Amino acid sequence: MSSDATVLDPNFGTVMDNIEFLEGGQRKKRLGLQVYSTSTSHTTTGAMISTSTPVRAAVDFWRYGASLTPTQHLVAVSGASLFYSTGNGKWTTLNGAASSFGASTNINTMITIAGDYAVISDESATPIAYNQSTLKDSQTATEGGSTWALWPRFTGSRYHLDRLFMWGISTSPSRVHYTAAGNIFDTTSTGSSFKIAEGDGDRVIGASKPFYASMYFFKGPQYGSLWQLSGVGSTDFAMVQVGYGAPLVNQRAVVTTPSDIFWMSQYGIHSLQTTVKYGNVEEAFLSLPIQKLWREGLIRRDRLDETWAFWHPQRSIVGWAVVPAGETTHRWLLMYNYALSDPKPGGKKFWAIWKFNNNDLTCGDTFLIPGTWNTLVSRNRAGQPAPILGDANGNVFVNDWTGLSDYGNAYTATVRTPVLTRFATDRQQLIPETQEKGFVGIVTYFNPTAAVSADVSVWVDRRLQSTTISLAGGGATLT
Amino acid sequence: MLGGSDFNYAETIIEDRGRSIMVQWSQGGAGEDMELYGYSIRFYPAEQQAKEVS
Repeated sequence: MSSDATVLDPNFGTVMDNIEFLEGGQRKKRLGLQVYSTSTSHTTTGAMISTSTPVRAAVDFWRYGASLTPTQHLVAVSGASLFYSTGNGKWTTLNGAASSFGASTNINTMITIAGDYAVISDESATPIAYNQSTLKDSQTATEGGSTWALWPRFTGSRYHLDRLFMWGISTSPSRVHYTAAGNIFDTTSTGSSFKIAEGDGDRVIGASKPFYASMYFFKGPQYGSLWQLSGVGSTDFAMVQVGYGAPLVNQRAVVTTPSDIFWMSQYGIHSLQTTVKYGNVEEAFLSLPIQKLWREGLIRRDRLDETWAFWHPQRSIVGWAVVPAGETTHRWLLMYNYALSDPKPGGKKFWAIWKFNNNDLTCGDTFLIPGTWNTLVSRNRAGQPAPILGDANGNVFVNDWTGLSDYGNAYTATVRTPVLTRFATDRQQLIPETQEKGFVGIVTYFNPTAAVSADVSVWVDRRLQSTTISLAGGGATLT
Repeated sequence: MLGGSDFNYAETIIEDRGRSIMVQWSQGGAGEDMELYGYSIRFYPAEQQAKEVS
């Protein structure tokens, strides 16, 4: 007698380490890391400053200017210095390797693409803008022939309605500034500011990117509230509260996709669609299947404020970096597949934890793989989206390597079922928990890959048996 | 083209008897892949009432 041949139920896994879910729900080993550098050996690192100077922001910056042919730069912040790369695997400093843009340990560094500039801010330093040729800071530059009105010293920003929205201002924690339309440097002519629920015990932590003609602001980190800004200009801007609780932990922990907005709070992971429809009760958390991480302290609550997130559009996943309990590095990514998951309360959710044994991932974004670097490392993925992940060791890694190693280091993919106690027979009888079963075999269905093997462990009433199975093709292979 | 057609299975013999079972697969080789479709468990029902001395 055999149990139903079952594709593993995603709500029915107790371990999903280093697993990516494919379209049919298959569990596949995640792709590996490759160093973004000129090295073709995949193992040599290329730290911007040093292996002890963390990368705190890295983004993909495409600019048209006055041409129909855009140019691509990668822009990054490492230590107190700003860097760019033209896609050739090399990093060049913008303001000197010993410069003083903020603090090396800043966990709020943000780069926003706005008005053909990369706007770099972290509150501890004067915000600065880069247009792929020069840097402009609000203390010295002129723009449009007149003196640039000073930006406030802000923590983060978003580009919406051709305006730059800025928040995280030490003198007014609930205030959001915005510039004139069409000029991200004009904070005086038609630009202005507004406050969001000042004095409610929270400050403005972050904001979404534009989402269906609106922009969403998050307050926290104590009580939490979510606010929708609608309207097209300063004369008709309107603000309404659309969410309660679920305080955002870091401005970098919000991901805006074309269909939803995702964020991490002190209590779990949420989406705008689910929160607005079903409220912020725990059953509506996207993270319900992995709620044990928060409830039992398996991730460090005291370092949730360092969490950042990224989106991989081609693989339909969003991920958040966290520090495991008892450890000090951001080496876990909590990965959610939104294409396969049902966001309704009680719906199946496809979660996995990607575990990096050799990394402390401090920031990340998605970039389109530059053609130059693609050729350099003999890949075939130019122009395709891939995560770029900044590390505390001063490197940026690309997470789409089919070589299935983390720059030469092996990692283990693990799938585990929960304890299964009830079985149905062919005659629709239920064999309950209390009844003994004679277990005689496990049948594993898989996609044959190469002459490799997997370890299979079976616990019957906690008695462990282990063996190895071959994952090679042959036999029933259909081609 | 839109989906793979490769498929295989492996049967692993268990010799044990009990009330519960848990299974784990892991693959830790550098440059080595694993893609699981699913699994099933072969079993036979034993006595309906526990026979232990109580």
